[in-house]
Amino acid sequence: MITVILRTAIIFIFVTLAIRIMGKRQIGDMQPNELVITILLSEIAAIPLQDTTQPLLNGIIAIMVLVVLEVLISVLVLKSAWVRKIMNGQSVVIIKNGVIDQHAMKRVRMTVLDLIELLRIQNVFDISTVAFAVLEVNGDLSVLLKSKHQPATVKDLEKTKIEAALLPLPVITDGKLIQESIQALEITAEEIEKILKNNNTQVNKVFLLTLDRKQNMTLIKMR
Amino acid sequence: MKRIIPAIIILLILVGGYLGSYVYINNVCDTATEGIEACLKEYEAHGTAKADADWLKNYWDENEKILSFFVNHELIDRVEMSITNIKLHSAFKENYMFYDACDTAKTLLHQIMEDTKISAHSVF
Repeated sequence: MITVILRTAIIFIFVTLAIRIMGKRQIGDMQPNELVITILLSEIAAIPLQDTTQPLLNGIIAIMVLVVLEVLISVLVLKSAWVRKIMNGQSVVIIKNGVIDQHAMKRVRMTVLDLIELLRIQNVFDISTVAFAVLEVNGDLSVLLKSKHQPATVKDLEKTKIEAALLPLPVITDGKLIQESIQALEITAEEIEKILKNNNTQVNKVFLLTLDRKQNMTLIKMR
Repeated sequence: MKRIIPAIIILLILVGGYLGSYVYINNVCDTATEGIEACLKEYEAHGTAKADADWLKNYWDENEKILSFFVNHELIDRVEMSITNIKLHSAFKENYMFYDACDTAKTLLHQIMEDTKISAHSVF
C-alpha cells in the first residue's frame, strides 16, 4: 500500500511539472494537438499507478516525451504557417453577408441545426443579420453582425450614416505575411509596405497587423 | 523560447538515460548469462554447480534493485526465481529441473535485452 502512495505522489509531481512546462490552457481553448497530449498524459499517468509491476520510470519517461513533443510542436506551430495549418487547422467562414456557405459547412461536417445552435449561443436568432460567421479552430463560432444590427455604441450615436460591416483579417502575425488574408483583402505587398512605413516599422517587427477592406487597421509591434 | 530550454534539457536527459540504461541492462544480462553458462559447465564437470550458482544468485541480488527502475518487475522476479531454482536443483542433482531452470533464466534474460533494443518487435 505504501508503494502505491509513493508512486501516486511521484506521478502527481511529474504530471504537475509536465503541465506547468507545457503551459496548459483551458480545455475549450486547446488546439487539437494539445487536447491529444492532455488525454494521453492522463492515460499514461494512470498505468504505473494501476500496475505496480511496471517500473515507475516507464510512466515518467512517457510523460516527459509528451512534454518535449508538445513544446517542440508549439514552437514549430509558432514558426511555420504550414505546420500551424497541419496541426491546428484553419478558421472557416460559414456565413458571409447573411448567406450560408454550404460547401464550407460540408467541409467542416456541420449541420444547419449545429450552426443555428451556435448562433443562438451568440444571441443571434436571424441568420440574415449576420455579416460574417467564422468557425474557429477550437470549434467556437465568431459572429460579426451587419452594421444595422450591431448594438449601438457612443461612437455610433455620433455618426450620421451607417457604414457596412467589414471583417478585419490578420495580415501579419509574428512577423510573417498571411497570403490568404492579402488575397482576400485584394491588397498588394506595396500597400502593406506603405502602411508599415507610415508606422515606422517592418514586417518582421510586427506582432499583429489586421486590416479590413477600407484599410482600417490594428497594429501591434513586437516587444 | 523559455519553454524550449527545459524541453531540450529533458530530451537530452531522456536520450542519455536511455543509452545509460541500455548499456547497464545489457552488461548485467550478459554477465548473468555467462554465469548460467559457467553453472552448466561446472555441473557437467563436477555434478554440482554450487559455487557458480551462489555467485550468480549474489550477482542478481546486487543488480535487481537498479534493474527494477527500467525493467518490468514481474520479469525480474521470474529471473530471480529461475536463478534460485538453478541453485536448488544443482544442490539436489535434479538434472532435468536444473537444465530447465538454466534455459528459462537464459530465455528471460534474452527477453529483457530484446525489450531494451529498438526493434520492430519492441516498438510494435
